[in-house]
Amino acid sequence: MNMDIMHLAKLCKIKIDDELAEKIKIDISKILKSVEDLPNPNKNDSFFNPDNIMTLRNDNAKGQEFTRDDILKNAPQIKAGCAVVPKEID
Amino acid sequence: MNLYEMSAAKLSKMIKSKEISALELTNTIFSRINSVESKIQSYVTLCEEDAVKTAKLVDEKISKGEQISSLAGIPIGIKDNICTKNILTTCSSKMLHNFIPPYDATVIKKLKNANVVMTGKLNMDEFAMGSSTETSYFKTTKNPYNINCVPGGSSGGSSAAVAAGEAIMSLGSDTGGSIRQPASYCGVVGLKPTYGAISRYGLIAFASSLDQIGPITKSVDDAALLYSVISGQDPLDATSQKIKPLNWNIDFSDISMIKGLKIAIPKEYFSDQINDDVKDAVLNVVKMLEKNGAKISKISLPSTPHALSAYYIISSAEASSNLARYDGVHYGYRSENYSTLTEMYENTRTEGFGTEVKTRIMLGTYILSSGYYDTYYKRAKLLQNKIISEFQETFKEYDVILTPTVPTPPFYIGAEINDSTKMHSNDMNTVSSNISGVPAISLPCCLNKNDLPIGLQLICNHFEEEKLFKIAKCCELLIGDIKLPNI
Amino acid sequence: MLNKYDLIVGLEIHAELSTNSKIYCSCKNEFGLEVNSVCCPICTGMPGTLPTLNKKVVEYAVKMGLATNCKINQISKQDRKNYFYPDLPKAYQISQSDIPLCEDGYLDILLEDGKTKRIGITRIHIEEDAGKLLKTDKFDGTLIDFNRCGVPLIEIVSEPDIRSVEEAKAYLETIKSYLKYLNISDAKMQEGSIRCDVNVSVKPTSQKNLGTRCEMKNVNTFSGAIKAIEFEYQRQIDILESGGTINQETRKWDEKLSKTIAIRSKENAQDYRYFPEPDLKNIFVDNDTIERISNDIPEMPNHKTIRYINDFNLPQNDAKLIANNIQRATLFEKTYELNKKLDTKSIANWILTTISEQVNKTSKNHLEIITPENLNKIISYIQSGSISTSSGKKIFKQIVANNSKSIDQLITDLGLEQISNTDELEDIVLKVLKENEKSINDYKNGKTNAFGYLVGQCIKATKGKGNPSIIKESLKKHI
Repeated sequence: MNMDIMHLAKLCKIKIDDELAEKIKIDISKILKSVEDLPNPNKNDSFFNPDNIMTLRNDNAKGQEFTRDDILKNAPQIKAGCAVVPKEID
Repeated sequence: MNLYEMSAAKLSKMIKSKEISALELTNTIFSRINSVESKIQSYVTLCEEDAVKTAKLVDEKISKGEQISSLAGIPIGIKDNICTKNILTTCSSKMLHNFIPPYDATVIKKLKNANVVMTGKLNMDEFAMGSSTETSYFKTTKNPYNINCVPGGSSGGSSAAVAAGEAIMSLGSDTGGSIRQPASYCGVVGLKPTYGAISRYGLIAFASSLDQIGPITKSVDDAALLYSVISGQDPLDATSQKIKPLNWNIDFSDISMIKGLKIAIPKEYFSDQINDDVKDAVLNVVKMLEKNGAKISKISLPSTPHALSAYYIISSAEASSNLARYDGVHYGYRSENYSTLTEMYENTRTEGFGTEVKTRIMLGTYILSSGYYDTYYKRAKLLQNKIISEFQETFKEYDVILTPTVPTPPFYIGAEINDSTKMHSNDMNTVSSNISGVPAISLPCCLNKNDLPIGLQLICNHFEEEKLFKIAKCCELLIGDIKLPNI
Repeated sequence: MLNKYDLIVGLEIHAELSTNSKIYCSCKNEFGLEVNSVCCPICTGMPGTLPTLNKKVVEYAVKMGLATNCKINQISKQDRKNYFYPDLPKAYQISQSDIPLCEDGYLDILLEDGKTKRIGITRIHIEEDAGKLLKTDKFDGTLIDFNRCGVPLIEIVSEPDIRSVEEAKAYLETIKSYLKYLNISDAKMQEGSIRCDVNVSVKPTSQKNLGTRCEMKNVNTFSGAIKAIEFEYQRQIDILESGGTINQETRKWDEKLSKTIAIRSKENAQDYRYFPEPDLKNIFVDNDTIERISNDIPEMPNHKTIRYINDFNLPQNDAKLIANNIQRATLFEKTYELNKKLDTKSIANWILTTISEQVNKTSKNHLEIITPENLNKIISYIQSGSISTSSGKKIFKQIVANNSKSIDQLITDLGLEQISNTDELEDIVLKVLKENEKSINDYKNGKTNAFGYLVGQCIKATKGKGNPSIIKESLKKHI
């Protein structure tokens, strides 16, 4: 399996050391390998099911059920009524 | 018989007839928790104060002669991935160890309306990923039948609590077997309802297209009662559907319906991987059914051996996206060690998630990456369609499919946690109903020679819960009482 | 050198829709409120919450699709676009990937030379907006305001059919006028309710294949978009001229530096890992809905402009200025409807000068300033000579000042009735001529302004009520 496990971890915003990388790689490879037994799809095969439709919500704005405190009470850092993250954003 | 050993159906009658008070029942449950919780460890959070308040309210209503619901005053535990307003909801993860939702899940609102007594929040595998509660950040719950064994998972706390009398009933969630497998391991009844029958609003998502909330109870009657209270379309869940309300009659006991019942036994569910004790126990029930006039047919569901792979692909893909929101920005855990945003993200997620969760996030991310989507995700979704049509074909001819719930009896704590293949094989008989959305129930069929429970699974067509409950109740009557655990 | 290269531009315009509630929850969709005061667990992506799609969002997108001649996909689906950013609380944006609501449309833009050009619309899809990051020098951190999370957006993607800066401008303006005409978006750039991504490539004129394109993300002003295109055009030509090759990359327009800056190369392009949104089922738009929306679509401004030019002989610029604003256009058309003998240029002048000045002074729109009935009366009386142009403006001022009297009453009250009786005016002309022999001589000796003086004296003698054109004719006759 040609998989850049460290790059994958980066995409997931997770850091892993070599030992964990090896373990995860083995686990992932096992599952991916088992998929190879699945029937090969044709190019034109689609799993889209057009009959699966939903009812839409009417455009009614509700009165504000939640206060700012409700929304931010779990935030690790708050300033001026806002959640805070580091200044440096790349 | 102790109150904590009784069914909700029976206790409800006793409360209504003032034979016992709701408060007495609630106090009994909490003293039971006090005496066995240190051994079983099924709870993450207890809500005794609120529970007592609700129980008193129910007693007040009864004394005033007000109408009360069929579950009023019944102590129920909630799996810790179902949001409860102002009560810690952790998913048994460090990531949410401090998360207090500002809102109630729809099922919780319904339970509150029914004046159910909420005992607390129950332990589980982290983010419902696991089959043993061993991936919980907090603790491993023990099997009440043998505390050296796992209770199963991910709804291990929910099943163990009911089996141990720490709750009369509980709510679990099932994405690949997470209600039925622990129900089987703990000798209780567990229903994975039809996808869309119960609102998922407030259920912290693992794999949105497979997750369903369901009841874990001591009897089929209780499962039906709880199901009838929490099911129904919810305007807050676009995937929920309008269903015919279930009016369950707890006095239903007409086993004559077995006569002529067409039962399908799919050979793929009785493969070599199934433990002989389990096979024998399940086939023994099949024999009883046959004796009572059921028509038993051996059938084949040929896509079944691939279902587990498709399940891991679909569930991990969705999980990788569903769990991306845990970034330390405005709720949950945030690492203390960062200066840039990327560091905050990476350290938060590295420290906040356990290995199993990380593995599935990485698997799911890989599957959805450009270049791999068709190979994995599309292939799995196509197989999903095939599995659905195999079920549809089967239900054209048969009333119900009967299988073992899990390939083995409960395993020892630590026995499988480092062997992912073995751990995953727990789900081999359960995942297909999640993938196809059909309802499935697990009920205990006996204890094995080591006094460990073995469960059987019944599967019906979409939205045929009523039929499923009836067939399950007949089986329950044929099987008779299972010995309760001795803790 | 510019002639040697073709400019190729494609635009992706994101417009916020002016619905009552947000796209996936029932929070108010309102701009400019206190930070984090219009959000709920759903739009802030709290664990366990689920989206439910607002019907109006679908209808508005379909409306834009029908107005731009798109095919409407009666069944479409939504997908997740996954990426980490602190203004995106779920770490994915619900959008539409392979089956958008609208596809394969076009719209015609009008160029300065009077020609029209057809620009293809690849697709229009719905998606949710993200929150806002607030940075200040006073504080060592970034603040997040989630109010904008879940505000509904449509993304309108054009084909790479735009070939010049002028075309880009015309296209942007036309889209903006469509959004306002259909009443589906405030289309205010300064509030960020329209933003765009700009794709630019160049190719040698002789070359058939398109060149490598660069994408400029999140340009927040129209002028920024235009400047970004101009800058990119030159930058890419410079590279090609010096023998270099263009790298496919994402750039951003830096307003302060007035240049585009590379932010991401193709190799580091984001992999958004799109997959079908499992929390939502398919969107179905039935035939009745399409028909109802279709009946609700007015004549679009670019078509109006062309009609005003052809049928009413208006100059292109006036036609466009009136047509692009629905209140102006309504006032124009309704006034004309009341009296088809009115001079359309006079109506246009009134609307674009006198009335527009008043609009700019107040927060009212054209129709709130004056009714078509009143405008028709004023212009009709001027045209028939019953009142002078300046009297017409006096009456207009009274109307603006909320004088509720009828126009006829105002004319009487203010004594603005114009003398257009030829005999009466001739007597006055003869009298003035008698008193101003010097001016007559001056005029005869070629001093043309002497004539103006005489006209002025006649009007003065009528206390301003004399009809100038009749006076002029009479003067000419008698000198």
